[in-house]
Amino acid sequence: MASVSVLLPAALRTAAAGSRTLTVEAQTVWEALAALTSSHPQLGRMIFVSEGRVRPHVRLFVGDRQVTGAVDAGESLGEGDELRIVPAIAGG
Amino acid sequence: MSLEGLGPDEIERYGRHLSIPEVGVRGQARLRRARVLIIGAGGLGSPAGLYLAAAGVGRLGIVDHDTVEISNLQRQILHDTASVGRSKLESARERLEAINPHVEIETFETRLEASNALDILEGFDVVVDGSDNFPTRYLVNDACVLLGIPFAYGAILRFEGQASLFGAPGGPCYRCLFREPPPAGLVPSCAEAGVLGVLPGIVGAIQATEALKWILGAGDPLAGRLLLIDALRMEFRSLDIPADPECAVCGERPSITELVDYDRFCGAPANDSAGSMETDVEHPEIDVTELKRRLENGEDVQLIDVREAYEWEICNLSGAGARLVPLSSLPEALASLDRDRPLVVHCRSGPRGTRAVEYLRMMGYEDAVNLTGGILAWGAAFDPGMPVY
Repeated sequence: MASVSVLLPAALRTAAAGSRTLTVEAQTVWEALAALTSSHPQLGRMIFVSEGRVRPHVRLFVGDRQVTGAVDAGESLGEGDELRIVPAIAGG
Repeated sequence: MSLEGLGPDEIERYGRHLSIPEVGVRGQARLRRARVLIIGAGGLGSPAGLYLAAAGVGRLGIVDHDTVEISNLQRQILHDTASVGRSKLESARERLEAINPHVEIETFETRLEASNALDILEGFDVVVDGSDNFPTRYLVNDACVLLGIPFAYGAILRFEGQASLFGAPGGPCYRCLFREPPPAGLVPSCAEAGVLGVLPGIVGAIQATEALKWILGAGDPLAGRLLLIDALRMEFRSLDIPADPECAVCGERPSITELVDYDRFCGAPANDSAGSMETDVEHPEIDVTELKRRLENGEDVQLIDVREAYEWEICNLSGAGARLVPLSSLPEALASLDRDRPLVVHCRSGPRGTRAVEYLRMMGYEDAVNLTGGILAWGAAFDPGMPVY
């Protein structure tokens, strides 16, 4: 298992008691999200539309690369990787 | 050296531009011939408009239909205290013409809608999207893609921003990144969650920069990249966002070939009023008149305020028995809520209350209801002296 940092934007932080970063143990993107959902169910509901389906206004990135697609989400994560969750925001 | 038709005043005014190899006389003349449309004379549109006018963009169009409110002035630097109550477009026109009389300002005093967007956007070279709601953002995207106009995207919340250039040839559009909007109420608006006043200054200036670069053909456009701005850490991060070949509007087999009903698509009317996001049959509501009647009848209602502590300090319904439980601490407070008493939740104007009710019902509080319009609606109906924020 790798220790992975999940980076949360302001729009999602209320679902994680204000945390900007959560650390989870995971080997793949899906495992990281499952761990996140397990520890923070409200966050899980904001990210997933149903089990295994990421909401279409939420995108996932590892480093600079998008990994939202189902195939990419199975990819492995290494120690210290950062999984960034980016939702659409509309403020202007 | 040809002056490309620039007059002596312009040569002097744009001197610092003329010294840059990427601009020069030719680039400045290009800027003068350019037509840029700004959607919204608000937080993002203000700095973008000021810099684009100062830079000498020949024709600046602005779309807005609001009047200036005092709560705008913390960030909307096109407007000033004396403009409160006036049309934003009048205020913007005066300010921009004062900055640069060489710029032609064209105003569209209307809400941008599917019925008028193509007519308004047509003829502009680049668009700056400074809108404040999802329906308008998807409308701007689709209209720009259909017309082949790139647009400088910016969006803000609290200390964070996003920027990109969408709709450039070969690059992604907004729908490639965010295929569909969030369900109404799931992502907070600036009216609900707040925004640091200077943040739209940073993001709007980035949008103006991208518009100018696009006109000049200078540098690397932000197309294909999403810039994340975190002012709290003062970190900028650029993420790769490829075009989606299956995109509904710019993909290989587009299903959207004309503008659609964006309010319906987004499940909310297009404005930043947080209260507009609360219509949802799955989340029962109670209006302020009914709540007052039940309280006056002596019903044993649990009234829960799910706003933040600082909002409670501005105004609260403690006189009606309200208790503060911020939305983020609702899970920990569940044990203190009585399942057998009626439960009414309220926030500032509605959306957080909707989320709280959704959560409470999921946790077994099946009679929980949200106060329509939140404490603002209560104040408007029964307490005109209550501070509005």
